[in-house]
Amino acid sequence: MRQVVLLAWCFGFAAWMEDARTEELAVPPAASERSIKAAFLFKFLAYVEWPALAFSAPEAPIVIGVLGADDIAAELSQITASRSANGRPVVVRRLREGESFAGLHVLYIGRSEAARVPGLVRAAQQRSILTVGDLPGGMDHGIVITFVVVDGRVRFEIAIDAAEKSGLKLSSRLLSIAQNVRSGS
Amino acid sequence: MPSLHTRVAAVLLLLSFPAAGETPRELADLSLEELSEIRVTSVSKFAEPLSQATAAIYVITADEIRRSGATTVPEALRLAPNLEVARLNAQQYTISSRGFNSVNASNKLLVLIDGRAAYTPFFSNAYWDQQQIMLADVDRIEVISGPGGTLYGANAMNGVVNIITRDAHATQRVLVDATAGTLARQGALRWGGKLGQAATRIYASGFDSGHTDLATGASGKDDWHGAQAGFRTDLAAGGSNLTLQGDAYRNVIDTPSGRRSGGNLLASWTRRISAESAASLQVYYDNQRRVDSGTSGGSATNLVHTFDIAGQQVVMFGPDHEVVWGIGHRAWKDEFTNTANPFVLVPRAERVNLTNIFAEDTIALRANLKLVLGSKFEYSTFSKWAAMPNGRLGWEFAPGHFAWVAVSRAVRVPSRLERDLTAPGIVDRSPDFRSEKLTAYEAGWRSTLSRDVSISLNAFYNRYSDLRTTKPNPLTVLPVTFGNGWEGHTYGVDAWGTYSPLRWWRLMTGVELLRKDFHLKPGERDIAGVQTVLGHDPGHQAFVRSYFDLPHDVELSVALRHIGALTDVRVPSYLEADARLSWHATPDLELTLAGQNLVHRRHAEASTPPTYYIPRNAYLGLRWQY
Repeated sequence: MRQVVLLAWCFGFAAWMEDARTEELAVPPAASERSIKAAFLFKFLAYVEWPALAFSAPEAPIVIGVLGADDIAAELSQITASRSANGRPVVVRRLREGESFAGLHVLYIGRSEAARVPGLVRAAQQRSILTVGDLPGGMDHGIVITFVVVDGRVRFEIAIDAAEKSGLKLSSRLLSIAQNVRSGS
Repeated sequence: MPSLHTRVAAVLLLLSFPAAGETPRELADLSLEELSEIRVTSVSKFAEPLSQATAAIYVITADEIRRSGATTVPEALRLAPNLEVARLNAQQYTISSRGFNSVNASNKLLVLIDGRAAYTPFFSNAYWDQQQIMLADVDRIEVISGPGGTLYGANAMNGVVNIITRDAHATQRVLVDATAGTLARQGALRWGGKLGQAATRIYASGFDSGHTDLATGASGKDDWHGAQAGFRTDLAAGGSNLTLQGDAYRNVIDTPSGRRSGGNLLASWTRRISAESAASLQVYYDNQRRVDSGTSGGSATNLVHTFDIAGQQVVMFGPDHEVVWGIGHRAWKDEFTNTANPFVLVPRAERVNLTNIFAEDTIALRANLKLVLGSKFEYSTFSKWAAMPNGRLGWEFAPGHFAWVAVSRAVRVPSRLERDLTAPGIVDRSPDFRSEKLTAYEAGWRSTLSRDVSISLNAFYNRYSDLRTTKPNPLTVLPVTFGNGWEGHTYGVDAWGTYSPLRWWRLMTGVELLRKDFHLKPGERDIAGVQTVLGHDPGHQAFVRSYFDLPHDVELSVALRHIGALTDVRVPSYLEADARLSWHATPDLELTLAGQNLVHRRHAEASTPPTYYIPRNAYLGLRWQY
């Protein structure tokens, strides 16, 4: 008797979850800022072209270094655990202070690193590393892609001059979706 | 994938940041245009779960396990500074939190493996000689010292150990993990891949352990060996995450001959229903069988079947309230047959049921101040209704600095042994044996002082009542029954900190202090004495671990531990050291040389009696991925 009650409850619960699923929209209505930024960061990879020598082999992974943003690193790791970009696996590394940028293709700069941005940008440009961040005015400091929150949505601004200084090519599709594009300095 | 409770707790604390692994995967499949249109959820007043947990929690990471050289789960648990781990012999450990560590008393720690309770209603304990989890596939072990009654239920009285294995998506390669040493040898093989949309892994492992020695130097004859195999499948489909996993094992004890065997199957389903709510459902079946031969003939067999179903939902009511609530039911069928001696359980086979409902609200009083109020109500066959309420307050008084206080009530439901044990003329059944009770007062402080220094300090004062006594018959002494005559309190501190003096050097230290004060209730007697039920606990434990990242992909780690004396059983205090040197010959191949218990040729950590001495030992290891 008790087993029957249990099974009925189990199916009731499952049916309720099923109903919840059919009502859900194709696109989630809302999400956290960090989840959206991490998702964007992953998506950017398909719209960036690195210089030929940036990868040692066709199957060498794209390495994303995250500095001062453990929450974004965690979300990114979840995303990249089961996905590839441009046919390459993606690896996320949490960087410690002073750690070298050797082997990185992307550098995400967290807000806590604001004071060190000029030095970080210089080092990244020398190694053709795509810099991304959410510091206000990041575009003016040489960060290639900067997140901004506009009317409750996450958008991004692109500094083409910074990209060119790093030897990176950005797809025009990416530029067309950007909130703001700056081409000259 | 995290255990049910952890996953839900994470969602609870981060509701704007849904359970790890759900939303990010879905968002990453949207187009750039779609991503640009998603609204950011309003005000999250709750940040990282770990730095803002209102409990004394230590997370043992996969990397910490790897660098420790531990090859079994109990050895990995030594890494938690808020646990007492004592090795009895080659097969057994007693593990507890905040006191009560002994074979008869360590019944106050709840151990979960991916949400499945590794617990037996037979004597309210976790058997450490049954579960051989492949450590290479453990994502982390969360150790909470302090009652977890509200979220985890009865028997999470002094602490909760949550062993969480890696999502199958993270173990998609073939892995070989083997060690060969002076005390034990083990090997594991895992294959990972995709079956359609679902990521899957299957594994097989085996071990062979030598023996420890008795005081005289003679062999303790506790050799044993065993094998285990299992699988895990994870599927993310349309906003839901599904997990299916199972294991089967068989361990063989040589002398006196014994068997430990069993298996389990678990299915869990989590779903983010909307921006404000997520839910999960978990069902599992577990069976365990233990057979031991008597020293003078006959055998004792214990067979336990467990069926458990639990559902939880996390809902955000406005920006200030996150409520988690759930219902669960566990049905045990336990059978004990004994022809080796006169101690039997009457009835021989019994069904024990545990039904619970709980709710907990985390309220943001201000942006950096939160109040947690909740309670679990549990109904058990043995103890009828029990309420386990708790209240917690957490305050981030500066960025990176967090303080908390908590008051909770927890109970431990009687085991079959305490209710049904009988042996003619020696012990009678104790149908009136009640639950043990605890009211705990705790406080903690957690700080990230700089990029290289962090500290965690936790204090507790636990008041216990109705702890088990072995009551003599008032006239004839025998037969005895079990009563609830001990009461008293314990108090102490768990503290730990990490410090990284150089980029390639990290230090971790931990200290645990414990004081116990118990007395019998007026009119109560205990024939077995204090030590049986109150545990053999050291007054202090201290740990220092040093991790070096050396050039050429070499890693070195050294761990020291000093454990205070167990005065009741005359086990002296001891200092021991473990060391591990490893070399990543290629990114996929790691070679290891490790030594355990290096300071003394042999030492004792506990005494049942007799006392078994753990020898100094070393091993070579290899971990290779393809």
